[in-house]
Amino acid sequence: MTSSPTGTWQKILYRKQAFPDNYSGGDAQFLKELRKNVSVVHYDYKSAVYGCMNFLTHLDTLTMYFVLFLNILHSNWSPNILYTVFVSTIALYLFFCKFLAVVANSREHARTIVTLFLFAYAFTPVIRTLTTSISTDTIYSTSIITAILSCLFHDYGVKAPVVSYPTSVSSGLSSAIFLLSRLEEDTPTLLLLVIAFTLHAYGAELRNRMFHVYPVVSSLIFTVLSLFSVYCISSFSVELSVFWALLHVFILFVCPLILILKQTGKCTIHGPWDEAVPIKSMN
Amino acid sequence: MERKIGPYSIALVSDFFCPNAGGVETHIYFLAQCLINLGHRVVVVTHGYGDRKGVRYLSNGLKVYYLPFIVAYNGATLSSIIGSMPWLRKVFLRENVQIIHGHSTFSALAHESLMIGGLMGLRTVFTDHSLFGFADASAILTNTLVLQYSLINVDQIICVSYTSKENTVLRGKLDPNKVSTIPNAIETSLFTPDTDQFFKNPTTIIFLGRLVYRKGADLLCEIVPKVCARHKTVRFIIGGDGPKRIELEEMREKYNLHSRVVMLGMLPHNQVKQVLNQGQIFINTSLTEAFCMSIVEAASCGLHVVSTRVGGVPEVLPIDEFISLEEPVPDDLVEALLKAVEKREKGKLMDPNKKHEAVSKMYNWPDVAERTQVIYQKAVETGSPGRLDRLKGYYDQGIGFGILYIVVACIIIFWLKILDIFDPPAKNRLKEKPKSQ
Repeated sequence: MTSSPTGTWQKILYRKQAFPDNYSGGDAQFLKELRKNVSVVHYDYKSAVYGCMNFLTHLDTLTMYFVLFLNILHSNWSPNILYTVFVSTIALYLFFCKFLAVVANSREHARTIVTLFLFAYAFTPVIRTLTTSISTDTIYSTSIITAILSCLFHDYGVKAPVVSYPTSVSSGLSSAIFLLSRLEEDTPTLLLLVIAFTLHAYGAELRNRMFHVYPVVSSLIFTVLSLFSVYCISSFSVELSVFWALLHVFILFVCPLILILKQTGKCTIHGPWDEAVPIKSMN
Repeated sequence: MERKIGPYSIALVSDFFCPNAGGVETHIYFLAQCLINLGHRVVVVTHGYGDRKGVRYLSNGLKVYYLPFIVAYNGATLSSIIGSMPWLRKVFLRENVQIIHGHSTFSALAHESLMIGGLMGLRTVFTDHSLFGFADASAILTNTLVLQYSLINVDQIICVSYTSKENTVLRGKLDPNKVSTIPNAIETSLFTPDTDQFFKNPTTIIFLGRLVYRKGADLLCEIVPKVCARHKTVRFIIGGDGPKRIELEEMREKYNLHSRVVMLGMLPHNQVKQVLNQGQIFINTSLTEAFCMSIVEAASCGLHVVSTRVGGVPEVLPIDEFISLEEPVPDDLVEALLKAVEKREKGKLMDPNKKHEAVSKMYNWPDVAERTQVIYQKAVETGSPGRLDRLKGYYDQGIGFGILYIVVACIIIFWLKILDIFDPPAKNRLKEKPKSQ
């Protein structure tokens, strides 16, 4: 065996070295190029709470939609409230287009509103009677299930493989359409349909931009919204509203704490064996 | 070597063998041949390929068992444990095997025979030929579900480069002292330079390899037009086929490079030398590579290699003299290629014959076989862990999947006992007795 003249071990294969084959530089050299946690993100408690707030805001808006629907269905609330909500939704949408949208194009947005409204108006009788023959219990449970599905795929401002805008919007809309079949008249159906559409199609972007641009205002809005939703639920069931409040506390404060405690265990390993990512040059 | 090692009776087990062609297949073939030359008794165990089933002898006297197992995915067999166990046991007993040497992480047959052989009390060696990341789902699954459990009870492990060793140690949670590094080799007499063409041909850059993402076909696609734009005469020859071939042909069309970029398509392995001899510079754009035999083949043909700095590639050839390394960035590789072209035009590249001589000394199969038999000796000399220790090994790897492995091991032990009663090992070991089954 020809030995290397220097006597120090090198990480090369083309020359036989005076070391046994199972030697690889000892502790100093072995795994020298190992790097850990190169791309790991560590969150702080505050940003985690804000993230949960974002999530809860969506849950609250969905709940408020159900509350609104039930109150309209049982005629607890006058239709005027519905008109108010409708107008404020449209106003919010315009506000979003004007101040928050990344690409501002007011004319395009106005056209979208008119088109959607006209289509919704034309198809309301069809949509309202689509699932009328199905029993109310089935409708409610299906609606809840599709709403949960929509929440799972919803975009809460975090890039994750599970996020899917089309799935979220279509399951959210179908949840609304199932509910609407319980209504008797066309006008509230139309209004609720448009509200549902704006909520699901533009809600995510509006909320994420709001939390990004005005975090303090958004957290105030969230507080009001969550208190109001707890209050509204209490008119249907006190137990449920207590549960809802506890759920808020758990998600808002305990879940981020768990994340903070658990994220110290994050560990990814990188080294020369990783598949390289070819960097494309700009043409 | 102070004293003679062996002779041992060795079974090389892998799903991948002739008639397939590839790195693992060539490795097993040449290793077996050189081990036979060293006086060992070697059989190869693999699964059947189409009509090729049963026992075959290759022209170099190598005995190959093509066992009739179901091929499930990517050329790897379906591990049925009790279905294949009697076959493997019979082969190991008949051939009086002492050492089972499995090849390739992807080969289910290798893992299976290592497990069964280990429980039969035979010595086990495993060679890892590939690198895995730790990020994608398939790697995580193979690491935590198969490799970690399979390797814990293997006596000795061989890797083809130091990077591969680090990778395997991390993946299998192994003791680094159990893992040895023995590089691949090539049959350098098959890859000789052609001085005439080397000096008289116009400057030509060669690419050989499957045209897939992992081999860096996208990089190649960007490099070729840039080099052609900056140098007026340089030619490219691209050999190989794959899903990215269309993109390369589009590139050739778009930049109107038909006269300068030759695409040969799929090449049989015996034509590689002829193609390599036409050029002076070899480009390797792989994104991950444990050893990379093709750059050694190119260097043996006297070509200067330009390669991406990935995996075990930096360990393979002396940097600057034989190989220029760059990060996998098109512009850097273009620079490196142009520098190499300039060197060639000024006649500064190493003489191809000298280079061939040097590579022949670096890598040859007899040397690999000699180093491998040292590993075999180590495996034989260290005491084999008992069956209970093996079960404990699985247990220590984590109880979740460990239970499954323990159950499977218990089933194997049970069937081994049963088979030992009805088909005693002593009867099988009688050799030179014609058997037909």
